[in-house]
Amino acid sequence: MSESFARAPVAYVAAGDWAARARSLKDEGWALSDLAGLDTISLDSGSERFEVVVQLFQAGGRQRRTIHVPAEGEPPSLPSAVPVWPAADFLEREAFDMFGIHFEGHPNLTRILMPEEWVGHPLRKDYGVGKVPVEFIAQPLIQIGAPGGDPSGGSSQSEVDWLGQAVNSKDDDENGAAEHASFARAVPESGDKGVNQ
Amino acid sequence: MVETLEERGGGAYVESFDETEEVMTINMGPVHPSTHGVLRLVLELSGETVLSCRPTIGYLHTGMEKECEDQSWRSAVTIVTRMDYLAPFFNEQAYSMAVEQLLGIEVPPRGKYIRTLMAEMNRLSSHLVWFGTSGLDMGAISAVFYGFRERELILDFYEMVTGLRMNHGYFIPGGVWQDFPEGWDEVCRSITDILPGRIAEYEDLLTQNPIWLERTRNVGVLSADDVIALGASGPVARASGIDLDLRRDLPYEAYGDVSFEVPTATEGDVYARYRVRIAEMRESVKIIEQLMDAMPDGDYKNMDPKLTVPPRSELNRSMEAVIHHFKLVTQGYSVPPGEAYVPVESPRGELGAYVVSDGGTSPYRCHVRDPSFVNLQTLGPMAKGGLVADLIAIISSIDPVMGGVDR
Repeated sequence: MSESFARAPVAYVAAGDWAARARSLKDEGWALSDLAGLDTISLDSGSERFEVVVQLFQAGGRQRRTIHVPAEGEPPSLPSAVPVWPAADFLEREAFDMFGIHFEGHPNLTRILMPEEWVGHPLRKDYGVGKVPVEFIAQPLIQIGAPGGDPSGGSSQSEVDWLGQAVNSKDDDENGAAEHASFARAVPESGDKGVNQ
Repeated sequence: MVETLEERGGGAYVESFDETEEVMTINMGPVHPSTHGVLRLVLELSGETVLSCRPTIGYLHTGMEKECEDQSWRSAVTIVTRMDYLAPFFNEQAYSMAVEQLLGIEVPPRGKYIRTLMAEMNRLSSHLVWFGTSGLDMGAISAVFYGFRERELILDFYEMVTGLRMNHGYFIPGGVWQDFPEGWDEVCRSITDILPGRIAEYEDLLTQNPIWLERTRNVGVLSADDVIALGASGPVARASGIDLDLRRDLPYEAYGDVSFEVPTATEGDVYARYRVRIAEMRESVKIIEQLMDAMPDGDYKNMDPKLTVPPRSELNRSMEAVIHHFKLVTQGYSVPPGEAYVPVESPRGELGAYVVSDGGTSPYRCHVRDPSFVNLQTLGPMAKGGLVADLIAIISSIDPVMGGVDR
């Protein structure tokens, strides 16, 4: 491995200290290059479930460092870095969109890549991958948005489809969730009958 | 006119029109030839003047980062290569280097040279698309013919080497998946012989063209402070006097062995970005020539049998090779737990791959910091106060690729 890509030093900063630490880092000449969310649910990180991983570089581009900021509470939140580094704007919106991490003080924390009415945060580890399951047994089909009718054969208690999207077939069709749920082809009768059968 | 708009419920493009302030909010895009893909801009206009410009993105979002988490380490390359589709080798390079860092393996010198050469070819082909579309946007329609003509030569070379014209999946963690074919150097030499003359032709076409100067000079000026604050990188940053180039600052792959200049400008306008990119193309040709002359022999990938499939001939006589082949194809290799962020200098700026492993056989997290995504934040500040026609010039000078922005 070339020396220039020796691992950048990694530091953990608590969410409460992040606003002050970011400001002092900026005064030391560090600029923001990347900010990404991370769901550590199956990593042995020993801290909060969600973290924000910030990549910084110093003018000249040679010095780099990585900072992890765990997002605390429910919803997971931490102070926004936008007042310090405006470059964090889009990147924090992406982390919010994909992981549901709230950045306090962000000027416009809205979804950036997913549609605004989307339910759920796709890069969370407990969010389905979005495969169409291969079924070898007859499955009741859910017909979404059939005008004025019950979903034929679909069990009435299934309120989310396999994508994790809310299925509101009885509500008016203008609800955006119904539109997305039209991707649903079939739902297994119970959770046990999955892809691996 | 106001009545007509009200009758049409705001109209297809006009979202609101304030009679008293005479501020009109309109949609530009997502389908508009000069927005370089499905980029939607919400503009507030006072007459022809842009009061504010808000990019709305996500129309091309296909969840590639999520998809990578479901692939083996080897096959995630085929996902990341589709992100910034005009610079596929850079996506592969950043991802592969991040995985190599986690694995702690070394790429053999020939592999490094091949990757660097292909990356520089890619910089040329990407800049040629920028040159063509940029000219097209501002009325120099012939630019697109010339730009795409030369790009075709480079795409033929890609096809010769990788079998594909785009989305190659050619770089793998450990090197490249196959060696250069016979006769590559002649084809490569023919490209580097032709291009300097052709770049001079492009300059004849535009550099002193009074219409071009009128459209690009003092348009979309971005100060050096704004560049750092907004996180812009690549030619956008270098045209504003920020002398940052990862190839020189953190010489990765074979960049330490070649000499090249990093073109910069200080004006920070569209014309400065044009000059920087044209100069970068010349430097890329120089780099490719040096790499060709010094191309080392030897392995083109890391030959660790735990990481790379054995040659076909081995499978007929070695049981061990069959076992390795079976393990790699069915399961793939696992990567030690850890995280790595590796940035490379793509034609649009810093393209970084942040890869996390939990010790398994697929990436736990594969985030790509795409330069177009971050550079797009400069669009609002640059467009403010300019004309709508200037906005077109500004978009093409950022050169965003929506595949990379939305991923």
